[in-house]
Amino acid sequence: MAAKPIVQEAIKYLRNIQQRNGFLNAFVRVSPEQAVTAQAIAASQKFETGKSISPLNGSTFAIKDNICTKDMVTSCSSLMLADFIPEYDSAVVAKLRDAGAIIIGKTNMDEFGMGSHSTTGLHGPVKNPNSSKLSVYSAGGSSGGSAAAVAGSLCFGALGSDTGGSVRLPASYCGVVGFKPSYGLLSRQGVIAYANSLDTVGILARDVHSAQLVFDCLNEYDPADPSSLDGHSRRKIQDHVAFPKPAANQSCRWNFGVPVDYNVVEISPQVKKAWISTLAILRDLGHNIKPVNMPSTRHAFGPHILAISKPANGISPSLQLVVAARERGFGKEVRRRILLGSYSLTSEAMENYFIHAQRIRRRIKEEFDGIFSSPNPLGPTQGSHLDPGASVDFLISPVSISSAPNLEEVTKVDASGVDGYINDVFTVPASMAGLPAISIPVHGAGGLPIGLQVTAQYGDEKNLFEVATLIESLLEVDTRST
Amino acid sequence: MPPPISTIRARGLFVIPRYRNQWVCPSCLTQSRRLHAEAAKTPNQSTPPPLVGRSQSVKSTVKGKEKDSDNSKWEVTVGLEIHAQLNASRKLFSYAATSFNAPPNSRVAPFDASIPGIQPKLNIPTIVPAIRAAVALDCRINRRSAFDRKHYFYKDQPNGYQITQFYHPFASDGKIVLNELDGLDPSEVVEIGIKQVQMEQDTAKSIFQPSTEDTPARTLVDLNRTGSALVEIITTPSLKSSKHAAACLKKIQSILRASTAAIDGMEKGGVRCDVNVSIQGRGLPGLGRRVEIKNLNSVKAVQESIEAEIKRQIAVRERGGEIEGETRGWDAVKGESRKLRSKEGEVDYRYKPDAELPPLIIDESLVNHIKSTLPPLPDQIILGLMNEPFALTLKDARTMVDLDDGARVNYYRSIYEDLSARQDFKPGSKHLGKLVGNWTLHELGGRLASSFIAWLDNPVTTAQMADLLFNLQNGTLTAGNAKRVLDHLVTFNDSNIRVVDLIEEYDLGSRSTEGEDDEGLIQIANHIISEYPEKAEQVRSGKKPNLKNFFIGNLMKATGGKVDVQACKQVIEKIFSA
Repeated sequence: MAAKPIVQEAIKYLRNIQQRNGFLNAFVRVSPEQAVTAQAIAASQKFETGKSISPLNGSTFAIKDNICTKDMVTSCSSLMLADFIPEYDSAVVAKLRDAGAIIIGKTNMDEFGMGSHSTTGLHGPVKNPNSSKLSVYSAGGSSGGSAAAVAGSLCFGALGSDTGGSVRLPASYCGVVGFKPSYGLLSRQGVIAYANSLDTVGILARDVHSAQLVFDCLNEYDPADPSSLDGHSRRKIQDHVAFPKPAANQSCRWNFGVPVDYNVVEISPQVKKAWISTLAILRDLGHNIKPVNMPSTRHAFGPHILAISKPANGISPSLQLVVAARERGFGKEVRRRILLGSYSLTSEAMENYFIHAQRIRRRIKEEFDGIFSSPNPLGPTQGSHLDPGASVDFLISPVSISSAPNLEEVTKVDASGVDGYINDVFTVPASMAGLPAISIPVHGAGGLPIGLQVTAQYGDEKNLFEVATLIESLLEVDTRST
Repeated sequence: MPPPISTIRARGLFVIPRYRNQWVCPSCLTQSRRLHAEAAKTPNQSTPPPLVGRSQSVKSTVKGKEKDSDNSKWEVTVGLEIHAQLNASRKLFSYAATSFNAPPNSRVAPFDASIPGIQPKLNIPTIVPAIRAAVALDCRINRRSAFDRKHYFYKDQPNGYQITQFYHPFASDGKIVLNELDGLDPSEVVEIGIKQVQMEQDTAKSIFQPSTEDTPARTLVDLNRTGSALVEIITTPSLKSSKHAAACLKKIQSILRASTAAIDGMEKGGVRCDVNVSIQGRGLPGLGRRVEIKNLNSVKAVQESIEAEIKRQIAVRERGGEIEGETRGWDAVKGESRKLRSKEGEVDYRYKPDAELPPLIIDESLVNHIKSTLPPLPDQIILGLMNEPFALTLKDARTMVDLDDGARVNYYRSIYEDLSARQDFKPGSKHLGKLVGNWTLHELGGRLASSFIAWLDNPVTTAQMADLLFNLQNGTLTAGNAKRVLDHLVTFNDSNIRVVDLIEEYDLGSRSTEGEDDEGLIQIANHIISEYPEKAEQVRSGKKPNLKNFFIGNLMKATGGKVDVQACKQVIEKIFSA
């Protein structure tokens, strides 16, 4: 990017925000124009120094409102933190700034990330940029603001957080790329926790390549985050996945797994069609498509609610407030999940729920390890493949059962409680197992975007990006041809 | 001063592994719940009415003043939970420095104040004193331990949970032995099990401020202590009396101090104790329902509260009542306990493995290193002092070890070593070990005490004391003059004063004598006897033979204390027997 366009582009995004955010409600806070232009000028000047420059230099980024930004309110869309101004930048934001990126504002979300449609927060619902005057669609959640900001051209890229699909689902609904890295690769320091053992920082971008650039910029050990993988483990991962198979080379064939257990009746015809046609193209290109069994997915539906709600309990005490303030400061969904989480940890319920959920989680992990052709680099050493012939390199599945639903409908469903969780069926297993997963947009026939999810073995980001680029390019061809 | 912990190269000796998901093993959970349940079970299910409406407070009684209820019918069981602040320079999970009396809220890292988005980060050096404590308590160090969250809501805990080690502590199955050295009867030897030792975070300090004209009564919170590293030491319920409990607590404190694991004792708030007390009819199986007394901050409070609790429980049971599982608090000033909450009102801590802290792996090499560098423990030191060549009494050895973190022991040893190393040292008639002990503890100790000088400000150097005893043993100083020299040294507080110079300056050197044949001495003695003819007559007639001592004393006085008492005695004896 040349010097001048940086400033022009940043200002273009600010104009877009001025024009469209009133409707989209993607941003809850926008950096002052002066600050943005100052950052943009600084980024432009970097070019003149001639030093090596990050590919992200001068790019504008939106940051989900649960990721701390110095001197800028970070509220998690909760009344509880409505006046919380961090005195520090989260590790990922600091890295972006170091790379010369411009932080353009903070994005809307479900309160503390608890929701699937970005409707539960303090600032009201986010609207999908694909909405028309007649029908307003959900942007997905909980990182709906970040996804809508990217999809609506309000910024170059965005950071979100993914606990059970919170980046992949809105990416799918809004029609952008949503990437959830392997657990432990991106620092969570400064990310206000929802569920410590599931939370990851996620990346939203308009294409796979951009998402990969952001990932490469952020992917580093952070000693301030106890769950960040240290250098030793990172080297171990590199050794494990050191056999890249270039997709460009057509002699190389990937093995794609299709989890038959994911083929639930609720999947809409459009989603099913997008799934099947993508698989067909891949098959036609000579790649192998294999059905795989993941029976624990069915179990995942029930207990995952608890796995999700269990850490909610970590949030409640972390805010130093009296009960009355909680009543006032927390929204309905947050209160519901805190109660659920607290209950599941009481001494009477602990064995039934928490322990059970942990057991299921371990089973899901083992199931993934049993399916992938490469062993889990951090897993137990025994590579016990029941059937080596059945092993696969990636899993392909939908991200959600349908394209973006009508916002009015989901608000009604939200009020009824658990029904809202059905969408998580496709996204939660990868979170439970800490695996990298990416949502790639498919422009379905009906006009609304549909996302397909590719999941890879732990730490196998390199190959995941490669295959995601492949699918992205194929689908572009496909879209043009239809 | 404890040795700097940085000298121990913890890095590399143990491994904090990459992230792995934490896993509560269901059997551990079941077991821990069973333990809770056992404690809550009543031995006798035929339940008399609960003690509603009755006075819930009970006074401790001064020992022996009141006839106790028939204790022999009841078997007492006590267990202790001791929290000790580890001797670490930084907090357990944040970089903030630990402090004892820094200005309020000046040692607070963002994590300690629960600023959103900040995560705990184990400060690796803090595990070294923790392992020292566990090794000194004869525990097994578990290679793999993990951290859990204990949830409760209180102003002294900004996070809303405490990070502790509930399911998998880092050390378990230790023991200490109580015996004569701990003040038990010589025939008694009691082994107390240490169930587990766990690492955990300390809470904030709450300071209650009574209302003033301008401000209402309020509680101030000082976060300096928040998140400091503690070890919680849990004994098995195997103590049989308040006396044993007090001895056990004292012993654990002295072990913690000697091992440099925890240097501040209860007097500084560095050690705090909860006790669990239950009684059961003698001969019946199992334990009675236990009552917990929380936050005791002195050995005296532990002993008194247990005594009061035993009395209270016996009284309840003898009335036909039932002990209610409850938590009580102790008012040391009033000497009584009061109910804080009943079992039904008990807090459910909702223990849960901390999802982001990796398990702690302690390598055996680190444990071995700590074992090999552990300073000697109090029992070893006491026994050493009681054996030759020191041969101190148990009482003196204990005093040396117990007082001022054992500072007297080093003082004593260096004097002893100094003297034994001198080529021209004359052992004299006295046992050297005992002599040095006597002069260190009693002569010097007594003088310091009566002058209100703390031991740590002791003005007499070991070299001065050694010179003094050297001259006493070789006969240059009489005992009386040696004491005068010591008086001088204590008063003038100058390490440059040399004992030999004092002897010369004040002419304190003993007059050498030829014993009973010393003519000069006989002359002086005869002169004194002639001055008191009646008294002399009474000695001669055998009426009051003890008056000889009068003449011996006068003879010593007349010779300026420079003549040895033995020589004076011999001369007087000789004159009167002539």
